[in-house]
Amino acid sequence: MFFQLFFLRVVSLPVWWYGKGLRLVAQWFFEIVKDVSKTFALGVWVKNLFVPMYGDTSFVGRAISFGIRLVMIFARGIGVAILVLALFVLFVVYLFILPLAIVGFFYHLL
Amino acid sequence: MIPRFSIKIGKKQYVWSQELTTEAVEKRLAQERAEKLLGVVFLLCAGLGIIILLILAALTNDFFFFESSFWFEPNLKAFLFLLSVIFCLLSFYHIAQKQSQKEKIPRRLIRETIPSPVPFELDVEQTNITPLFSQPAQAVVDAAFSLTQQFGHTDLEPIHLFVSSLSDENVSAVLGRLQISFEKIKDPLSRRLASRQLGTVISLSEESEQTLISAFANSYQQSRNSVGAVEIFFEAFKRDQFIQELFFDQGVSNEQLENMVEWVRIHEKMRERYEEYRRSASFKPIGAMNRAMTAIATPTLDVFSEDLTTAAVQGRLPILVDREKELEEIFRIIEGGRESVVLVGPDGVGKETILDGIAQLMAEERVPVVLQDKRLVRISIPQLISGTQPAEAQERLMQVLYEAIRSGNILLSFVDLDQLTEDFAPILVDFLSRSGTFAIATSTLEGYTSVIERSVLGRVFQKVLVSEPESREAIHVLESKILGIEAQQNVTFTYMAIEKIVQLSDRFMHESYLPFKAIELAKEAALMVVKAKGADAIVTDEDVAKLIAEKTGIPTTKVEEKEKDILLHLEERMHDRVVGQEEAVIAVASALRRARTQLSSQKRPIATFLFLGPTGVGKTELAKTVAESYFGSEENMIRFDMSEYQQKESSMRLIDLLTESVRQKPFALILLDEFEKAHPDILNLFLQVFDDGRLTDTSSRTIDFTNTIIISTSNAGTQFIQDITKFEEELKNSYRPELLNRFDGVIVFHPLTQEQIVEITRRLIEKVSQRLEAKGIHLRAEDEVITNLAQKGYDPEFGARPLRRLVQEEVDNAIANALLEEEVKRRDTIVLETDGIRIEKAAEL
Repeated sequence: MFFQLFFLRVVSLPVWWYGKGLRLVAQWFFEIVKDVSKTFALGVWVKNLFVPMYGDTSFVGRAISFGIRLVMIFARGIGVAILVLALFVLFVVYLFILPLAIVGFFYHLL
Repeated sequence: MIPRFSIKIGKKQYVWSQELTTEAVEKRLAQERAEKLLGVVFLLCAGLGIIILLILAALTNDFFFFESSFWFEPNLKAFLFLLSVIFCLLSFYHIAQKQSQKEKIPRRLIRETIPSPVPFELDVEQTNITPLFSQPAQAVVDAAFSLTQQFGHTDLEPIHLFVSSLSDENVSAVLGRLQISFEKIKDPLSRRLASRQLGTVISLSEESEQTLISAFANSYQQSRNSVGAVEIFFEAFKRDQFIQELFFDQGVSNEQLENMVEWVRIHEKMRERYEEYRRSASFKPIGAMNRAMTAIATPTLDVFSEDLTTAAVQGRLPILVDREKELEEIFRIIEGGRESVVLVGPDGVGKETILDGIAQLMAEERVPVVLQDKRLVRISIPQLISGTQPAEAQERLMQVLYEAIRSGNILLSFVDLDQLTEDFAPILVDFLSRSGTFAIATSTLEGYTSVIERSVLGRVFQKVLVSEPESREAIHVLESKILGIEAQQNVTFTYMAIEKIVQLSDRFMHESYLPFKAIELAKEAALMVVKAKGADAIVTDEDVAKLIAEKTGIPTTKVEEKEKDILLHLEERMHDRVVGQEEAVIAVASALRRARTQLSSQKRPIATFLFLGPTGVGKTELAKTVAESYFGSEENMIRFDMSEYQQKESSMRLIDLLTESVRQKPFALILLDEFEKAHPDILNLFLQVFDDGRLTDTSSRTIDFTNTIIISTSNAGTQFIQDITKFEEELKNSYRPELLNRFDGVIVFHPLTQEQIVEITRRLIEKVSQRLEAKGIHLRAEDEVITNLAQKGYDPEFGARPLRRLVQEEVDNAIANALLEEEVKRRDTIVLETDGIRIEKAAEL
């Protein structure tokens, strides 16, 4: 039973990797991006770019708010961008690691 | 396996289709073992290769990872590394595959009814429920199978499932709290198992299949994530008459077991919910500032309110138990016409907890669409209107309402809406009717009738009645709270203790309402037990009964041997104080025994008697004896002279006096002397008291009389006591028949006979003697002297009453004089004689 299962897993690995596995990983990454952008709340800041903070509707208040919001959007944007980039790199690694590992394995074996 | 039954949810049918044959079970178990082993092997191989390489690198101090030759020239190290990587990938595949197979029980919408097993239909889409069984539940099924196999039975029946479930952790908790040990049920269960039919091929019986899918339906109804072992245990219990009988013999009824299982479920649910909230809490903003920091947000509102949805997300709100009916009604009203709702009910029944429950449902978004994506905010009316001028308070209210509208996602709630005075009500009403939004409020019954219903508020707020929960529901609520109390005081409650708390507080504490009073009582009981027995103690039903007995003075503990003896010989004890009157003593003693064994009705006073008879025959004395033997002391007697209430106008005075004294002493004997002399309208008042055990005072407080014994005395018609027809006629003239019929007993006291008078005289003299003994002086009286005194003191008109005075005059006075003149000293004996007293000097020391 054990070896049967072992064999099944080894043989079906490539099929799973680019089928169900790919979908699963994509889904995970997407969820992570969603959660993190929710934590950074970038969308909320962009949407409220021209809305004054603390209800201070005076000209100076609006100006400061606008400035602060720009800085905040920039900072938070960088945070989100770094994360997305990292996830993207991971995703690319996912895409290529299997063939590279298999090819390398046989290359070094022979 | 082709299923025979299914549970229908929506368009799907859920069935048990896992094969239960020796091969199938063995195959499945082997598969599980193989999968587990494979996971370990993958991980080990992956880790081993990398560790070897790292050790190599460290030993040779050669970081070959960074050399191109490592990667591009064929070598053993790179081969090992890539092999490890492949095992890593395999490991990832293995774990991800297993994770994605995990299924969850579908989420139940709040108003769906509990599905029950129906015959399986071939043409409907089916889902196998086996993967939804938790690990322990699956283990129970497997254990049941091997048990069947071990005994060589042909059918896997509920009894097998039941016995296998006993080793589960949660099931042992159930048995532990019910104080049932496995030892006690072991033998009957094995006898039952031994009587099952033998055979070689094992199959799942129909009852067992129903048990398994009902266990699933049960978990679905409870909104659980997976089916637990407790569900199987409970469903198997319900399907086997024998097991039910067995538990009944251990003093556990079906209802009690159900409540106990509910307890475990409530705890499981609380744990699951806590874990879910921990996760979702990380996204919700906390505090006054919203995420956009636009923050005109709601500064005023934030000051005077509490965000319930935030509290719910943080898991700070108490769990809501058994209020589905009320929730449904609230949602129906809100959905129907977006109307506002006021929850009306007495203090302590859990109106605010319903608000909390709504907040929790909103946090999970399990609410009608109009309530989705909103936050529930509770406004404190006292805070809003206190410490300022009315005008300013009105401004505050308007500001709060304005902010609520602007934010657009706020649902307002008001606690004790009746506190909103008429200055503010129109503002709120105007706001609610113009803005198209709505609110949820709470109010007491009195507040609703006196304030809300009569003001403009009544027009916009729909009433939803929140009544005091029945004892079953109250038990569930208490179960949800008990874990906190247990953790705080470091004790453990048995199920019987919980049940007793609810029963007794319902019966004896009428000032407050369930479940509040039960929770308070549980806290007190825990504290009491910790003080008496130390930490880690167990709170039993007897502890609770003891606490109630201490608080109320009413014996509520189990009738103990000593007390049993007292109760069975109550007549003799009463005769220690009352001479003669056999009939009356027997009637009263039987009534008290009925009350003590809780056989009497609990909606009426413990007992009501009419004592009829001439003056001085022992009516009041018997009443005092009853107060002493049932309520612990003569002090617990409230006495009213009804001749003071001859005018109709005096009825208010009587009501106030009566209700106030009973409010202060709810456990007392009420003695209504000369009952027939009161005004007939006043007598009618007592119809209600005798029937319902309640009376409402002038400030419309309802006072409970169910823990009182009411004794009315009267000498109406007693001059005709020898002539029964005349006597009955006279009685009917004095009392209306409906009043007479409401007494538990109309007891006629007979005039005293000569012997009884002599006996009373003897007891009076004995009392004098006891007082003298305290001074070391003896008293002796010849029979002749006592008979003489009895003859002298008896008056047919006043009964034995003049006797006491006579004894005072003739005996006490003479002795007092002798004492003052120092004629009598310690150890002397006073001898009563027909013409005075004689002193027998004691020998000198």
